[in-house]
Amino acid sequence: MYMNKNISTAFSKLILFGLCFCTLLSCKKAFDLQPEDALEASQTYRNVYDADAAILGIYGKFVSLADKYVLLNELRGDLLDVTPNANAYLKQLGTQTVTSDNPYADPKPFYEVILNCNDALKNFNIMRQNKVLDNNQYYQRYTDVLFLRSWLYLQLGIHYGSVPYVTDALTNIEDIKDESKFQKITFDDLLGRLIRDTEATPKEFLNQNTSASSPTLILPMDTYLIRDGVFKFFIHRRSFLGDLNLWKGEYLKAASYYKDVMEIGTNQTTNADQQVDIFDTYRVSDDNSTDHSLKTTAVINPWTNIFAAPLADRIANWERMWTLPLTGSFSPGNPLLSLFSVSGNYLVKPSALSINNWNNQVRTDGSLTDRRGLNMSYRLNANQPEVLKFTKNYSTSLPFEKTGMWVVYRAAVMHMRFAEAANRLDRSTLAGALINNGIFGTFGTKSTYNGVADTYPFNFDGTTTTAFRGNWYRNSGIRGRAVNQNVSIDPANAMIDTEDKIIQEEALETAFEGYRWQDLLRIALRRQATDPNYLANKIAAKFEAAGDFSAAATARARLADKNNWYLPFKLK
Amino acid sequence: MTKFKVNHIVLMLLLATLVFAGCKKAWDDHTEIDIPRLDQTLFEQISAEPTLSTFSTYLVKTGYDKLLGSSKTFTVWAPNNNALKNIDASLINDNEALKRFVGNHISNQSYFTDAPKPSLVIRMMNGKNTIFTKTTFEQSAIVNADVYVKNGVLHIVDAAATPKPNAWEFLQSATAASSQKDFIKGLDYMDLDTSKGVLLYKDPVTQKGVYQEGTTFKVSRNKYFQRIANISSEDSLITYIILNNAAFDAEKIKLAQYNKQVDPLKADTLTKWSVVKDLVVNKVYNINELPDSMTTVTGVKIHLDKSAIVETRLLSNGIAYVVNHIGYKLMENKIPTVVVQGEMPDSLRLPSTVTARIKQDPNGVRFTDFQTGSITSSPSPLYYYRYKTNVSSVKYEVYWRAINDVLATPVSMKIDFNTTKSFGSLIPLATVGYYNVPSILGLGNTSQAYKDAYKEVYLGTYTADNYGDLYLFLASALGASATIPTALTLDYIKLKPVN
Repeated sequence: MYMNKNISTAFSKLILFGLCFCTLLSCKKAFDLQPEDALEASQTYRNVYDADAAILGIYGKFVSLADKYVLLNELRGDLLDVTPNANAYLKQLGTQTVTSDNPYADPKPFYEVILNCNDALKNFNIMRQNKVLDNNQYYQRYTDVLFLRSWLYLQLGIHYGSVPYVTDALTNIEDIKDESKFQKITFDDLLGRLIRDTEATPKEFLNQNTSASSPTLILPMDTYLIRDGVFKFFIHRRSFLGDLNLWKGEYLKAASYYKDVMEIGTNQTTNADQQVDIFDTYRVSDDNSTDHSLKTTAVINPWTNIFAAPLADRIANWERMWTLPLTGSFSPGNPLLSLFSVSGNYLVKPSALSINNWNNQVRTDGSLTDRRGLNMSYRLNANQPEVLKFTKNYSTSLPFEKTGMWVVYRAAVMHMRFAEAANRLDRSTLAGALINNGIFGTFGTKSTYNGVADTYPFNFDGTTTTAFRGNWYRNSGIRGRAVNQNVSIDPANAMIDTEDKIIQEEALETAFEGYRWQDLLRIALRRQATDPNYLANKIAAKFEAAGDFSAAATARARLADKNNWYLPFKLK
Repeated sequence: MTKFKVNHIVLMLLLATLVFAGCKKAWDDHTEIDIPRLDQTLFEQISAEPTLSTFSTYLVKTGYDKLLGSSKTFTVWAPNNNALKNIDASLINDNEALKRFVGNHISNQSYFTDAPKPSLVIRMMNGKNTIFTKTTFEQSAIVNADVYVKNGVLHIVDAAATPKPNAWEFLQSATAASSQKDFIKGLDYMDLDTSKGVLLYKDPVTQKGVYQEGTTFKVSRNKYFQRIANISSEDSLITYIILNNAAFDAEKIKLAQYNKQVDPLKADTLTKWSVVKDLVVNKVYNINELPDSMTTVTGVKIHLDKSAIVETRLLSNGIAYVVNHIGYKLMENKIPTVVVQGEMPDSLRLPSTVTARIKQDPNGVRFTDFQTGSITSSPSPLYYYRYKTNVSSVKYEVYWRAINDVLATPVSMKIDFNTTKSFGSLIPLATVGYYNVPSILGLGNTSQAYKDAYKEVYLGTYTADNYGDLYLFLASALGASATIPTALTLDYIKLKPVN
């Protein structure tokens, strides 16, 4: 009886305990449901595939900055203007009167991608420590993300001047607002840190990543092939280092980085991931055939293929260095279409100044207008000028076919920036050659300096005899490729005049692509002491050409003060 | 004390609850829509209104009563009995006419008097456009506005709005202008609308498409409406000039000499076409604001004298003037100047490539040059640029602008004329003869010779026997060789009609 009672008490206790336990168990199920369509932080960065997914995710998000990048760099510059459809905030970008509530001036989208980069970089380090990534896997991935982050910071520096340089993996973007923790640093300081961080990369990883080195990352995706497709999704490493050093004023280093890229055909005969042609790839060349060249002729003008040819087009890829495809099938679609297209929102159009620039060029046959202007860079759609570089393949009869491309970097830009660096190192003749009619056209043989053959990175061989062809013999120069007459350079003021001519040529070659404000600002900063109103005059000229003298006066007055060269930095 | 207060509050709350409970019914009543009219259709409302009894019977007679009883929404501008008292009896007896008349008072959708700001153009059931303002409908005043019922709005107006004809309808009824009407009417033709057609195959002999039965439709079209202006369209506002028969004949006699053809019937049609083609102006000019010169849709400037106007008629698509005379400048207006741009050739016969280049003249004006250099022989037939144009049977003064910046020596060129494409037939063509274009190479940009070289040059005259196609041949020099090369260069050729 006693025992029985004991047993029953114990039994009841057990049941009670069991029930309690059951409750707990069921609780776990009830409250810890795993999401079905998202990953937990603990489920990421477990192997190399996770790392690849992170990189592609970041680049995918980066593409959504395309329209912002183009607007900030072109609308603030002198080649793009607003249409009557544009709102007050867009107009502010043009007249340099940006208020802190302007959504186009919000740095937050840039920081969102930066924080994604920081998170990936932190985890790549952990993965390397845990031996999940080997040395090669680690550096290839780390470099692609680090360089993209640095590229974003360079953009922030260009547009905001002083910005906080955040390299920690923050989970919340609001934390950046904590100024005690993340102090703003000056643009110059920022450039120093960016160069320090990017140049810490081991030299062998300054070459582009390859499918052989990263078979899990560089592989065919959706409709995109590896060759000249997926391979060129990622930032071009050396040319970006060239850009950073050019901003910093390290001209020799900048020129060296650029030259290494320009010589890709010399150093690589074959490349599984990229079309490499010894005399043509990245050399702004004319191979003297009617179709195998980007040179305009009397009959055809293939120059526009740079923007319109398919992603993996062989000839266009002699020029393209960093391309991100845009398509209606994937977010963010093609934000550039509605911005530029007359059948879309048509918010921005070519400025009167940009059209004048093209109309005032003289071709080699003595006739007027630049062949890169009408129907190439822009067209007249019912008398409304429309930027064509991003809308060439768009047809109103197929409104949902939005395939396009963001050419983030290309050879002509690199050539002009090399020329800019070389010119500052007293190579105005060489700079002029690259802008005008090329190495052979200017030197006939090897490039010279003070009468003797020049040395690296200024050594170009344009020799062409029946027995021997120098690697640069096909280089036709930027103007030569567009069949324009050479521009003359004032020998008495060679350095400044050459620089002016480079900037002038850039307006003709790369208008609307997103380089303009950057390059104007860089020259303005460089000439600050001698020509403080450089930027003000350049931007005011845009409004003067359009006949809007009050806007010209506003922009001129604003930009006379260096503080207004930068946008107000306010995270929303 | 405190307890007392608490009790009070409780009591108050209870009372308040009671009050609200009692109010419930009253509140419902307040929000409920209780206008008996809203259960009625437009037709029911109209037939219930004693002042609209006449209009109501017309609605029944024309079948519009069914429409106004339906569930779509309409607006009716109903004329009261007083307004319909003096209406033409012929209108009432003609069912079609009555339907058009009644339809001119009904539109789709609801239009309240606060909608016109200040006026609205509304498409009525009969296809005509009418003008509606806050207080008026066409020429009538609104007596009772904005009576809204179940399926629309009713306005009562004090006068009937008789539908106005459009320009084409008026022309057909204008007996004094039968010549103009007959000619335009004669340009009617039956066409097959294949825009929705399902193409089966192309006839191997005629190359015409054969379409699936039932997917194409026969439509009546008019060449005048297609090429000049659709004067029957209700959606454009025009000033239309109608020539009475006397004026039409006078014009015909005047213009016949410029529209000569081998076939007299063709010449007659062409002349009539020439008479009627410049009579439509894309703007409504009231009689008191007729400008000195109006530009017609064909670009010809005409002048209308007030004294020449026989009748003025307001149209549903503008205004029409029946006139007994029309004025215009004949040469370089009615008979146009022909300009042929060098870069728009019809055919080329050349030994080397031709280039079109944009250049700038000494005044800074840009033009496009069309040139071929290095012509080193003079074969038979000669090298040429051929241009196709259309001329009237009239004498033309021939000019060109051709700049020789190709060769250091003068470039000799001529213009030949032919009504067919062939060049180099045995019979020599009409020509203005060779002319030497001096070289501007080596001339200073400011020198007079340089400036003169950019001027238009008079070459001679050419008289076209008939109206129609004319081919111009810019032919190269005779006696060219490797040592004496020649070239072709042209900005434009101008044919100026003269008496």
